[in-house]
Amino acid sequence: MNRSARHLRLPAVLLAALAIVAAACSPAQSTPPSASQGPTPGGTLIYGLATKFDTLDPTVTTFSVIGKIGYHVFDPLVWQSTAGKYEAGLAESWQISPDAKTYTFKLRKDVKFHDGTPFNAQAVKFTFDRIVDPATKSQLGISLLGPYDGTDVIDDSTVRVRFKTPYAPFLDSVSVPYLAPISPDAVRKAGKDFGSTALVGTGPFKFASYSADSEVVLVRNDDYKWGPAFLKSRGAAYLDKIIWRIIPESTTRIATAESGELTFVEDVPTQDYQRVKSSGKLTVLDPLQAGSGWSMMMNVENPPLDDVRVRRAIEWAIDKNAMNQTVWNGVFKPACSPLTPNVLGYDAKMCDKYKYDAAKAGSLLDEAGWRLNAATGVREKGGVPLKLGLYFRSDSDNSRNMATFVQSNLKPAGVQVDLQGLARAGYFDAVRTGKHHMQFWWESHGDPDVLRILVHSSNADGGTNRNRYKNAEMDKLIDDAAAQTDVEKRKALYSQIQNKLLDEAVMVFFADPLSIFAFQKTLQGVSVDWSGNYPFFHTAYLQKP
Amino acid sequence: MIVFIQQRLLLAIPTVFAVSAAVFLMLHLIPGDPASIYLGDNLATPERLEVIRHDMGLDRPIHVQYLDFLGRALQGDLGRSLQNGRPVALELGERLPRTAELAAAAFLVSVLFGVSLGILSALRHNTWVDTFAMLVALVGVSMPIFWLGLLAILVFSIQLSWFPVTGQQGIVSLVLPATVLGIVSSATLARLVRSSMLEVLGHEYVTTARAKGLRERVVIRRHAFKNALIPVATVLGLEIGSLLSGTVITETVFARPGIGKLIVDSIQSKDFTVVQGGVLFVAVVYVVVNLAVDVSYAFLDPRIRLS
Repeated sequence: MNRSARHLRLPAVLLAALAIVAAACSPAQSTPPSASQGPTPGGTLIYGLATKFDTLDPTVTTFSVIGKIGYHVFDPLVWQSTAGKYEAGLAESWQISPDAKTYTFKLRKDVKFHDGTPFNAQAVKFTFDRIVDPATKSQLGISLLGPYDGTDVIDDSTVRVRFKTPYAPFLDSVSVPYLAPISPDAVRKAGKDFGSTALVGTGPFKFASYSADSEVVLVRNDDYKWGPAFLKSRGAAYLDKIIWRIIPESTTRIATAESGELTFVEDVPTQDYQRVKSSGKLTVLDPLQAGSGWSMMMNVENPPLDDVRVRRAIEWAIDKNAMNQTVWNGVFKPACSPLTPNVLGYDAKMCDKYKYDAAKAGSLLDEAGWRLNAATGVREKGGVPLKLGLYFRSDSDNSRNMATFVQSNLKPAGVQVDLQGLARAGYFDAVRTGKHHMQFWWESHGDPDVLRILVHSSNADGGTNRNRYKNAEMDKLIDDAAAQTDVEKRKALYSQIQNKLLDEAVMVFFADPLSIFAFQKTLQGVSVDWSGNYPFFHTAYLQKP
Repeated sequence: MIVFIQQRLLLAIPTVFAVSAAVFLMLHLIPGDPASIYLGDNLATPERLEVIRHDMGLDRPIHVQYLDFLGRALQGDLGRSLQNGRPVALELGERLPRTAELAAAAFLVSVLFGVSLGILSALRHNTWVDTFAMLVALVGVSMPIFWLGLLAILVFSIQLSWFPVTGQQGIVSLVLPATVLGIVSSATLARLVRSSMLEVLGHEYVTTARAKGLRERVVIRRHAFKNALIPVATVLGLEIGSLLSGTVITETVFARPGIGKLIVDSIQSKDFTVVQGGVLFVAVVYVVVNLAVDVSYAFLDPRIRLS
């Protein structure tokens, strides 16, 4: 599964109320300030990226890893310092119409792109219009623009963005790099090579080079003076250079950090987590990822999963604590809700819905008419054994481990799980056409509207809702919640949605994952955004050893 | 000989295109829609899939797609990757130097280690030296390269800090991957050199050379080794080909972007244009290497005439 990013969607008008929520949410993690030395300019940070990607252009890519680079080459219109708290970015201020269909941004006048061209309202319009152009083939960007209708340039530093229907999540959308303004001149010059041989934004680092599947080199933008206030340094970065080296093999990636060859690595495997942390050689940051974590979708159209009793039996039969210990070495948190605890709308009451109970699973299957055949150990109904096809990407160790666990965990309940580990091509064909009974999902997303991706009928039939769950009442609840401007009412709606989702046993939520970063002790001033996904090097510096 | 080389090069053209056509057809037979893979886990409505298929040119008949590729390839344009939009020539060109330097260095290690071990083993036939050398070769053949690579990283990078694991710092970054790859491939070579040398050493002309009173070193170098090299040259040729196109595991362990890894990844994502470009490259490599091997026979054994 690609780690696609779909991000926080919060009504901007709720900022004050959400500040209270934000206090309860995980704040951004950061390294403690150094006692011995202050920030010193210079040095190169070498970052070990866990995945390769399609393009460096954040407005086109499908890979959330590009957001990590993107935050350093580009600036968003607004910054989100903690959940729901927005600060000025390239936009100094903004106004939202009462119906949340029009957003007017006042832009900074002193900003220049790395190619020397001025940042202005035309650049914002160009960026958004290019994203919705089918020829651009934008992936994350287009999904974040929602019901985009158009952009009007009011004057050089004022821009108005219109939507066809109320779109409260837009302020969140423009806080991530996938909608960050890009240089129109650079795009016109580079054409299809923008994102490959050219990449021009306004951020603290300038693109220097990209060698496919190898590394991306960024150098400091000395003219930078419009950094985010919450990072407490608005000027140029300290680091001379950041090299993003692509090292998908996790053992190699960790080795490069332990040998001191790399400064910073992401995605430390859970089996190495305790060892790396206790060795004391590297600093470890491990924020909780906002979203819905690791889960399993159940195809409600494919018998016998069309029977809610069978799906509920699976909910009861999965031992999430054991799964966390077995698959993730006890590092993640067993999930009990469709939303992670740091997302608005998380409802602790959901944890009472299902707890591991094999006997209860058995009695539900009995009730559904699936009787245990003592000879085979597999339940049967009308001579048909209870067999479920679990489809997963064979190139993912994590998926393989989860699949093996689910298979062994459901066996005592008399459910035979056929493991269908497939390469990318076969996998997407199978799950898009609904051949599967079950398949895994991972979602990192700061806003509860993540539930739309999982269970809204507009995403069924080949989309992201591979539960193939279509329910008009659920659709209405999700749509109402996304347009709701009152935070308490919105939370109540998400409680209803989660309640319904679990009552109808559409998905099993396994674990709330952590993002695990490790880096050299000499690196200081690093912070990670509140959603646990993006490390910031705007104020990072290297101490002399 | 020049006529022979010209003929072989001319024959190479249909060979290369036959290979590319076969691969093109096979790729279309494998299940999986490139547009669906491109969208991954993102929103994929049927309309959006159609737009992307059209943009990728996949809504045209297969023969039109192939002829279009062929026409552009003949003009030197290999097209753009379906998955990332980069020119295929750039994708290959960026990786070629990294692949070539690794292949050359690993080949050197393989030849030095494999040939020395093979000769030593043959000359000390049925002694402990022979047994030990063949044991080393056996271990080399059976050792998973993935494991050996990680072991080398653990010892030489993490424990001793002698060599970097990744990066492009010139020869120092090549030492570990080239040694690991070279040692593993030298194992086969050592066994081949040994058996070939043993066979040649049993021939009457070697006995005659010794009877003439030639020094053993001369007998080995001029009479035995040169003749033993004919089958070895064939294997070496194939090895160069596989080093230039199939070092996927080494490239993965040491995070080196290479042609082999590019082709494997592109097959998995059904990136037709990149696979086609990669296959053309590999086909050309094998044709040229085989030709070089054939030509080398004439130098190794004057009785062989190329015509």
